[in-house]
Amino acid sequence: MIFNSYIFIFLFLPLTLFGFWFLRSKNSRYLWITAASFIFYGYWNYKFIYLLLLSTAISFFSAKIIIKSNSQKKKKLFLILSIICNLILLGFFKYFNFGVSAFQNIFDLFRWNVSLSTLNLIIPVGISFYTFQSISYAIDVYRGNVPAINNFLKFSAYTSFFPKLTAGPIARVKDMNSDLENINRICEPTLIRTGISIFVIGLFKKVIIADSIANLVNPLWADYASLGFASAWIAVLGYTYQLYFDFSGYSDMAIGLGRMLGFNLPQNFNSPYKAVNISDFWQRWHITLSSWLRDYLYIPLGGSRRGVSQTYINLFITMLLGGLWHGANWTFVIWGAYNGALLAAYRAYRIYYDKLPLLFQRFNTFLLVAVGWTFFRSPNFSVAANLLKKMFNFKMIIEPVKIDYLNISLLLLFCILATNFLPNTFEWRYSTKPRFAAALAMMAVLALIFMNYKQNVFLYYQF
Amino acid sequence: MIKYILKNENLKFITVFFIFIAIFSITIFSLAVLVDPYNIFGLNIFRPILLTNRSEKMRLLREAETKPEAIILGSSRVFKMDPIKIEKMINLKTFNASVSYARPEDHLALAKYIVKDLKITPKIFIVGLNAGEFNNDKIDSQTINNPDLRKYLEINKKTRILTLLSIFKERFNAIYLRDIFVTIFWNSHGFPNPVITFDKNGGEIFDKNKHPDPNAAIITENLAYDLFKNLDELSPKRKIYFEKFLEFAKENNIEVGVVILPISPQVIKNISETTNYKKLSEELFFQMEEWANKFGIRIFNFSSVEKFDGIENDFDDSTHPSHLNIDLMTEKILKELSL
Repeated sequence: MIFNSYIFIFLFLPLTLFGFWFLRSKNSRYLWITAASFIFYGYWNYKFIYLLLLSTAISFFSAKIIIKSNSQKKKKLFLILSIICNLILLGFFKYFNFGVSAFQNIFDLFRWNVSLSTLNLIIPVGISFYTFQSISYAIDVYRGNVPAINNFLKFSAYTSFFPKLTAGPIARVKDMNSDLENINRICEPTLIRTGISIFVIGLFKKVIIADSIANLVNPLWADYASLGFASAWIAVLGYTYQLYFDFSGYSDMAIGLGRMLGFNLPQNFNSPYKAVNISDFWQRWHITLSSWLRDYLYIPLGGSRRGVSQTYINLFITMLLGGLWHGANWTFVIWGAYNGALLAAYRAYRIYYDKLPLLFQRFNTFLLVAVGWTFFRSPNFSVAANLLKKMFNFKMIIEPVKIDYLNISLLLLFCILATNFLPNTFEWRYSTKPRFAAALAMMAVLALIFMNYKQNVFLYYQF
Repeated sequence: MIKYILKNENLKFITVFFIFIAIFSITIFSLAVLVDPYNIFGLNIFRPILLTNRSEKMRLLREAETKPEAIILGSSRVFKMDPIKIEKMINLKTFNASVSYARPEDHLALAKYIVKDLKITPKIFIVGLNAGEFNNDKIDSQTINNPDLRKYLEINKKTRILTLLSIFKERFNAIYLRDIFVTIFWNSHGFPNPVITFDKNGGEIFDKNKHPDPNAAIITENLAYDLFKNLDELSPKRKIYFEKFLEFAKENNIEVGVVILPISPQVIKNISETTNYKKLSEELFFQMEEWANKFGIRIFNFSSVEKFDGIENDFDDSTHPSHLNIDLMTEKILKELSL
């Protein structure tokens, strides 16, 4: 099920909210949330519910053993077991075929007569998100950062919580523990009001802005070989904004839904295209993933504590793996490496860079990020290389393809103004005035009409 | 209760939000029905913005000075089939009764209207079609809303309303919303010149010196894709309608020539990968052969340009052959018919 579908908005959400607030006890609400989340997840493919259950059970019981055991060795063993089990789940479904193809390429390169076969695997939606949450929970319990959850219902409500289940935010136990503990609170109208406001804004961002951009730029990406200088830039810039409005719209909807159920999910975007350098960008874009990578990968690798060159290597490795997390494709690896290199370069030259005019820093950061998205969006390296060549080939000024310049220019102008000058979801003051309610209602009705065109899946569902 | 809600600003906000949702929804829905830009509901308060050539073609037929002896049926893909050319070659007064988005039910309803209501019994029906016209699209609202056509399709009131509502559900989107305002604007400020106009004999009036854009077919590939998407087999309902049409023609001793129309070769290549185009085209051909044995119809299989020595990239868009290709097909058909 997706948030921008009629079945979700008109059936699933009202029933879930009604049932949740109707029930009173903690356990009944944990159970209700878990059941609703399984229905939400199983609506896509019920066969994969067992994976979610397995990941939940592994982390729950490992954490229990870790917390109860007096032996440090045993604690470590169960931590490693929990991490490995989750990584096996993730690795098998997401990276098995990629690994097989990579090995096959190596064998072919050396002309070894080995033939490997791939499997017909479907990548379960959200697996990257819930396995990462399970891993962080086991680590946090091992480190003593959070108490182990003793109630399985409570823990499964946390791991399967449908607003964040399929595409984040990657909420850790520390982010949700107090709300989980106070799940039996009474329904406060302020939660519903802000929840609706944030959800509608997210729906508007996704359905009206991101999908409209997609309708204009997708044909350009499909016909990348015929693009010229301007159309290549339009394709890349269009995708840059499409991705932002799609993913931040999704995150807003998730946060709004969380609020309606009494949960404060963490912020995932903080006006990323206002960033003045690449490090700043990564503190504003997909914040919950960046902080996860920082806390569970970069810092354990040594962070910046082991000298300058090791810091650069750590940054590079972290981003490389972060890229791979997004998908089993070399383009994501290149995108990760590109961002790792940019972070390392910024760290090396930041004393000079930070002295440059702020406007230049912001523009430069945006351009570097946009160029990176070329790899992120391209199905393979040759498409990305082809597009990048066109973007920097000033001889191709005369456009070979017909483009709807008026619509795309207006849309891009709107995006530039919105991402640079408007407050983001967490900065916005959600007024209680009736005229704001009326404006929000208009946005909701428009979004519901726009949804009828095609209920586009969120870009981040594929990760 | 109301006092309690008004006192709490959060509850007041939520109430106002849902009241406005209701107000906006009712307003937009009412506008969509009353303005009816695509003539789904057939209220005709505003002139719709799409081609409503069923009524126009039926009027031209009624007003025809001489009763036609050869009638062309089909969709907009045979708009350019020239009645004068046919007249010259086979010496039969010809009328082009092809209408937009025509499907087999339109052929049946139009044929019955022509024979029963207008008392015209032609010698031949030339029907242009392709496997895509046997898809699962809903019956066109223009057919359902036209009482002279509807009566021949045995559609009861319930089915009619449900079909219209489901067409509305499918089409009611951002573009529909825009077209509500476009319809109001054009109705108040005058319509632009019509894109397609017809001669008295039903043939399309167009500039014969104008040649299509060579990229037109590829740019409009989605039109062809939409005809075949999610289609595993020819629609059984539409096969029944077509069989009824053939039965009716046979009962009235009207000869039928079926022309299987081509789509652009570049597009065939692409949609063969994404749809069941090839399988469906074969199914149509075998079905036509079966009908040929049963009803004695003539089949002209021009599903690809080589079959009528056509011009490969001369298509007005992915599914509409250019007038040159239509002329080439017409010549081949007439040669065989006159033999």
